[in-house]
Amino acid sequence: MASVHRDQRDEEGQHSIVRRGCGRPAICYAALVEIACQDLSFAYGRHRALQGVSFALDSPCVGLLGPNGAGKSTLLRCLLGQLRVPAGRVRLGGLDPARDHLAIRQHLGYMPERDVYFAGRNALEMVAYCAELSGLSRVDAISRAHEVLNYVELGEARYREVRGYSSGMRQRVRMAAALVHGPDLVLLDEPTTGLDPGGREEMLRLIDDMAHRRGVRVLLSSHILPDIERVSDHLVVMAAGAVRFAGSREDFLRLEARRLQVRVKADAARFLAHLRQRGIAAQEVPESDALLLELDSEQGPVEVFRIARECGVQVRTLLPARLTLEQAFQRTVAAPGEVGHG
Amino acid sequence: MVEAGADTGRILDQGYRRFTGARRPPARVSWVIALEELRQAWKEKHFRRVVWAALLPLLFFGVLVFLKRFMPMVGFGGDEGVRLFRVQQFWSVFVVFYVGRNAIGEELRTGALELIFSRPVSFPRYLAGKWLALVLAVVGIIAVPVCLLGLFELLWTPGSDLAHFARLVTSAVFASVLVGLAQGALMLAISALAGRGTAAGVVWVLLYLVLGGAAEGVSHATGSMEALALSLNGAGGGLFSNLMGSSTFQATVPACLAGLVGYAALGAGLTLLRLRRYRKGAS
Repeated sequence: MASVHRDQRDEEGQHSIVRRGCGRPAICYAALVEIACQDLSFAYGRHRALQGVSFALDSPCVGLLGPNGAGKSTLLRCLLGQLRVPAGRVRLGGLDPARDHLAIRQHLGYMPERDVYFAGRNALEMVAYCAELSGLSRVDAISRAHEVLNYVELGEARYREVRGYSSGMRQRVRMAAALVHGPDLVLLDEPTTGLDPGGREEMLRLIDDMAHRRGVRVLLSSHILPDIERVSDHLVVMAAGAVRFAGSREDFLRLEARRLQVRVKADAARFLAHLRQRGIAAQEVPESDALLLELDSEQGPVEVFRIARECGVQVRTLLPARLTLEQAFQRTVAAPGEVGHG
Repeated sequence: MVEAGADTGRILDQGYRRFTGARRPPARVSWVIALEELRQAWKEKHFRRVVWAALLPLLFFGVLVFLKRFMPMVGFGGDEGVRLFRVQQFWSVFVVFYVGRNAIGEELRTGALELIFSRPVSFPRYLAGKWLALVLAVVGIIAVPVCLLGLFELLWTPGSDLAHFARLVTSAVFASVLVGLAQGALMLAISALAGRGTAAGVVWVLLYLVLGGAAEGVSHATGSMEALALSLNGAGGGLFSNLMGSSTFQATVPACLAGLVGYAALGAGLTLLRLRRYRKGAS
């Protein structure tokens, strides 16, 4: 089997790719679990799609969040090695996509945002062809295609031409094509776009299952916040081609550390008036007995306790206020130049 | 992942498993692409009809060769192989039409290239796979019947020898590979530039006819037989004819080689330029 590449696992269960020829090292360890970018820049002509993108993440499911045109799809194509990166460094499991793209792609799945299909082929043929392109034999490819089409719950429709499928079915086929060769890492570009609520829920359930039960790392790119919130453990927030935040979801939601949520016993209205008199921005939280305080840089929780004592109210709880993902995202994207790392 | 239940109507899913089997090296991917192209072409009934129809000339020339055993005056004076080669070149136009019209343009249009290049497929290997499919189809439609006719001659014609048969086989394979390279490269370029499969097919047939007419015209006007090599048909037929020592075509071997290699280089260059544009993100 001199010319056949084989997956191997070392004693720690790490994945390795055996390579021969090209004068490169025979074995390079590539679990493809860590994604790292450093000062990555890319431009389509004069339009700078990515500028100085830097982050490093190792998590079962990373959400790549950003508005349309933020550079998410371009970043995914750079990770795939489809676009040559003129400046900066990209590493997937320690490998460089520009140089080792063929080795990386054997262990990488990609689901494009665009509605892509092979003309004249049914789902089974399309997925099996994708598997063959990834190096599987014809017999393995067909067997695997059936397996993953079962996994995405595409039934007898797999024998119909893909061109006649609904959006939801095409998304499932693309997902199956991304998984058919058993990748370590799957890049999903807007996987729920164009799906009805039921289809979206099914797709998110599949992604969650893959990332948290099947051991497939997922990089999920989306501009739909609830999707990211539902399945992602870590976030990379992008806007205008730059990374505004990279870190855990918890850290992202706690970015605004100077926002406090306070509950008091007895006269909350008097306490609210006192807070405002002392120049602390405070407001009642709708449908709750809590108050939301925004402290400036010179104020702290001690100040809040002092005011409470002065007006004779008892503080029951004082916690850092948690933003919703949407609030945190809006604040992060709206703040130009600020980069947070959790 | 999904538990099968009598009332769910869902497929019994055995869950997602990682693939841990053997993988073929990326170098084999060109063959995968080539075989898939041929498989897809074979699904079209019109393509199958063309392939079966392309065997009719072999039947005709085979009968001639068989009759020559009893009636030596029948036939084309030993040039049956050369004539069959030229007839098969006509069929190769349609074979290239069916195999190549959707080759790159449709994949650009439907976005399938994005899926392909997310796999361990490089641009040169992708192009080589598409090209290989066309070359295999052309060799199959031209060289195979000519070689079979040579075998019939060897078996049935008195005085035929193994050396002549070997020369016929090597010449037919060599010339048909070059014809396949030239026709395939032009078809790929047209497909990549035209976008739509049907449009690419029509342009291909028109180009073939125009080149043939132009070569005849230039040759007639200038009196130069070398000009015949400007057409795909003239260059391929001339090369095989010269290799077999026949006087049916007059363009010399260098002219024929220059014509075929030139068209192959032109087609490959245009296709690479189109793919390069795609690679830069301007798909």
